[in-house]
Amino acid sequence: MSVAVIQFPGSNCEYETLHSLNVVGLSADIVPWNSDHLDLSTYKGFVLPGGFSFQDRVRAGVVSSKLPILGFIKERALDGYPVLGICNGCQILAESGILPDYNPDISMGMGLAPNMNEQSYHGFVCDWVYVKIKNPQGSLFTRYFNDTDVIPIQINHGEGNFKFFNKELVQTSTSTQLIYSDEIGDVSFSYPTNPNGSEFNMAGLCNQSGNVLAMMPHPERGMFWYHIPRYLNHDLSSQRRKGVLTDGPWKKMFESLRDYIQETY
Amino acid sequence: MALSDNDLKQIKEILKRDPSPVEYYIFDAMWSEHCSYKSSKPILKRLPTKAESVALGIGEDSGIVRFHNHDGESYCIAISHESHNHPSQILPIEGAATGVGGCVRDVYCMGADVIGVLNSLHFGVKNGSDNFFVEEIEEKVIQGIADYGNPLGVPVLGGETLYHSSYNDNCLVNVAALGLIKEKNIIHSYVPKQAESEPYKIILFGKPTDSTGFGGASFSSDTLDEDNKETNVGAVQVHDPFLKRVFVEAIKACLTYLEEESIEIGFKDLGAGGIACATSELAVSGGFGVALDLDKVLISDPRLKPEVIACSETQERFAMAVPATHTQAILDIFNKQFQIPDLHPQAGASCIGVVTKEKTYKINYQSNIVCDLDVATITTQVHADRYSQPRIIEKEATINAELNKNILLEDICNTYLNSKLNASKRYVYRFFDNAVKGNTVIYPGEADAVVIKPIPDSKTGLAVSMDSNLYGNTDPYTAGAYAVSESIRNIISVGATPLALTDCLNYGNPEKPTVFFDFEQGVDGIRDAANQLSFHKSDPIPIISGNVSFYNESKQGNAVVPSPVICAVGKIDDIAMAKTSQVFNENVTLVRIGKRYEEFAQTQLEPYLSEYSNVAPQVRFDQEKKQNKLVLDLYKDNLLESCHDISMGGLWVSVVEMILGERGKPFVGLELDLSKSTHILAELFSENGGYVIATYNIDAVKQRCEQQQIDNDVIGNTISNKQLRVKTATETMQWDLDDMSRQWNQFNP
Repeated sequence: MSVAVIQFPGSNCEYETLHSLNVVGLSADIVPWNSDHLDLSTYKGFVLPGGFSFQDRVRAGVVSSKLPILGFIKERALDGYPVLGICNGCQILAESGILPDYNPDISMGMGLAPNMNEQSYHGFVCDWVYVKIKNPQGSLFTRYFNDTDVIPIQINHGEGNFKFFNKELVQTSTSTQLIYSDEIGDVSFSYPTNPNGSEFNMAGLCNQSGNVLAMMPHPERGMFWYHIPRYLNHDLSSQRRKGVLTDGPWKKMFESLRDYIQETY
Repeated sequence: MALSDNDLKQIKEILKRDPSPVEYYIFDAMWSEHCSYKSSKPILKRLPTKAESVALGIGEDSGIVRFHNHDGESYCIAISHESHNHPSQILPIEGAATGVGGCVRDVYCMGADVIGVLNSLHFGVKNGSDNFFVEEIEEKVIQGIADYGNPLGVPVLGGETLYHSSYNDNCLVNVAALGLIKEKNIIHSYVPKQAESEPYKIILFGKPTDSTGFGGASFSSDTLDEDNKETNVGAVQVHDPFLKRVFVEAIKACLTYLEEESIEIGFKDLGAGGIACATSELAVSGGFGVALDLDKVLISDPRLKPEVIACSETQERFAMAVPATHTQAILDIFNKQFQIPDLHPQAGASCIGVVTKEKTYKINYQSNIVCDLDVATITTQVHADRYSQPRIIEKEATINAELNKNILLEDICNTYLNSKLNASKRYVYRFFDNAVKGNTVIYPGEADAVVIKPIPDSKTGLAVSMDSNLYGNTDPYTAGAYAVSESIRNIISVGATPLALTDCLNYGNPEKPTVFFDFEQGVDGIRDAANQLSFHKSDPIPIISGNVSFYNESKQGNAVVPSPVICAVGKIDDIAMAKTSQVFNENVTLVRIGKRYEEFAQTQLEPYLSEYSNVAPQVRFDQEKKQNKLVLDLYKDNLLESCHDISMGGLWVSVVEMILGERGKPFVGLELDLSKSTHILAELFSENGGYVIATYNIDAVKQRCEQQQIDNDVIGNTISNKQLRVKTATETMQWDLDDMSRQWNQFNP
């Protein structure tokens, strides 16, 4: 009942991601990109961690998406196994065409463009932002959240700007989506509420059956109480300042994954 | 090329023949200021480097200090502190990136995992169209650091950005890298004794050797010359953080293998002087010799000359001395397990030579001996006689400071808010990943120091800070002493106790006696502060690592402001205790700790004064130490809500930052009552070391200050109105915090 954290050449968030899985009681391994498929067959879940796999050559995530290991993970995703892509992992899932799955005839339905504000490119951003979750019950990863939650999370990317092939399908979809909002939950397109120019303020999204989640922000950096900055104008920061915060908000996501794997396999 | 006629003459005398081209470049690198410290060595001996807590002192690639015992293991922090000033001026992206790259390699090769970097950036000031590239250099240096640290997966844990016109032709880019290592796993930068009883080989791994950075060491040891721009550009190395990230993982696998097999190795990174410097130092410091076969080196271009292969400074390379019986296993980790040759053409690991008991340094290339030196020759201590020319430095202010006519206090306050020196630096640090590895507890910009939790399952925190100042032209001693005292205040300010210091000393041409005097004074200031600000009964706060960068000058030959940069690390027993600068609640009382003096030379107030003594802000060690102790005691008794040190910009900038916070989003307003202050200029703008603390229990704080005879004053209270009101004896000034926030955030996106 183990989870595989896939290490590509250039991944760099694999250890804290592994730690997050371990802390909630999931056993997990870091599994290199060039591992044999047989070595992967026992795993019940797959995480593609953050980083700069293959140096972002051509475009972030492209080279990794063409590896045999992604073919294997695609099969597993279709079989209903949990697959989570964070940051570079999100870019890889986009490039591999695993997400979105609104229209099976489209081989690649979205891409992650360079960060923009209303007018221009503005480069890499490391910052704390807020997200809301649309239809949290629709995914095994987000079912412990409410759709009214406004959750702080860190972003760290230069290319996190979601662009969709068919906007209408995204808009009418009922699958789970993570949406950038401000600290009180209002969704506006303007910077810095939308930190990178993503269409629909998209921060992450799930497939229709809810077992695959691709997200640009880093949930493994919101696991513990000490991850939440003291300075945010948010209840969690206020709890931290009072010394009563016990966990980070994103621990629930890993707990939900744990429970799903235990319930299912 | 930096070897002087005199050097060449000396080399011929030692060798009793002409040096071969390879030998020539080996001497060129090894005898350069950069590698030999020929000007600075006698002065650097003054620094206090020894203490009980030091696990590995100066002399190897990083210094190491003991940090915390946990689960029966002694966890240590390894630090390397380097400059990359000249390369960053010439090619800012590559220069700054390789500055980070070189510094982290020094830490990795001790066997440590790099847990963070800090950078001190000193940029010029744009002055019309005269120096249009000042801004471009700033932008690209920042990009270079981000381009390296982000892919490598190492968080930037703060630092500083300063602006001064003396950096217009010579920016400063200083980097410190910090690593975590268990004491029992420290690997040394020399061939182990074991090599006496079994054969050892030299493995080189990394990017394929090319011609980049050829002559880099001697280039950094000379003044930048516009006419040589093309050759200078070739001397800057090219970075590849992606490949480095893969090598870091492969190194981890190697070290695990070596630990399991209980094998001792020697491990060194390749920096200045390339293969020649690294392999000779690896062997020589262990008491051995080396025989290299240059044909075995993985190269990018078959046309490279032997002296280029031997001495270029291609990035992302390491050398390891390994028992012959295990070389194949190590090569396989790089070349097969991690498939490095498939990721980058010609990259990987190869065995390039053997360790010899005969103390010679020999290099073979295409069946010819291209270098044959006695080890003793290479290690010949070179030193240069330098002279310092003292000048009189005023230490005591005797004149009452007077403002220029027609200048209002309020205008000065506003000008401070609009200065890039004081404004929010989020426009710099938003490019840097500050939380990869998941250890960050206090983030850059929210407190005087950044705090991380580096040991899993331990609540012990590591506080880090990097600081310098602009006082050096008036008082070079104070520049050193103040840099130490400020970095220590920053550590104290989050509730940590200082553990160790590192220094990077940036000066002009040491052959000029006035410059050399500044350098000597800076070292003395650092020495005295490190000795006198320590809480330990007999030990100083040890200086465990450092670097000297000379020849930082303008085109006209004027040196940069003497710029000693200090990195301090400290320990906090429980990360839950750490506080930040911002005040979040109403009815909190603000107290100023530490006496103010009218010492305004080189401060931000100086341009507004018609009369003042030419005295820079002095560091009074006894007072500072008492204040530091007080703050830690207040932490212990839970009497603090927030804490911020007073340094550049004085109390005014400190309180503004306490109200605005990292985001520039105030939670409360503030009413400052300074009406009893008889020296309002000193009260608001003096840059003497001190603190502003926020407390709910003013009586207890007052009592402690009085018991310990520490100068203090209640300066105000937080209020619900989002305003900042300042009452002086003669006037009341008032700011709307929304306006103030806009000013403070004006350089941010």
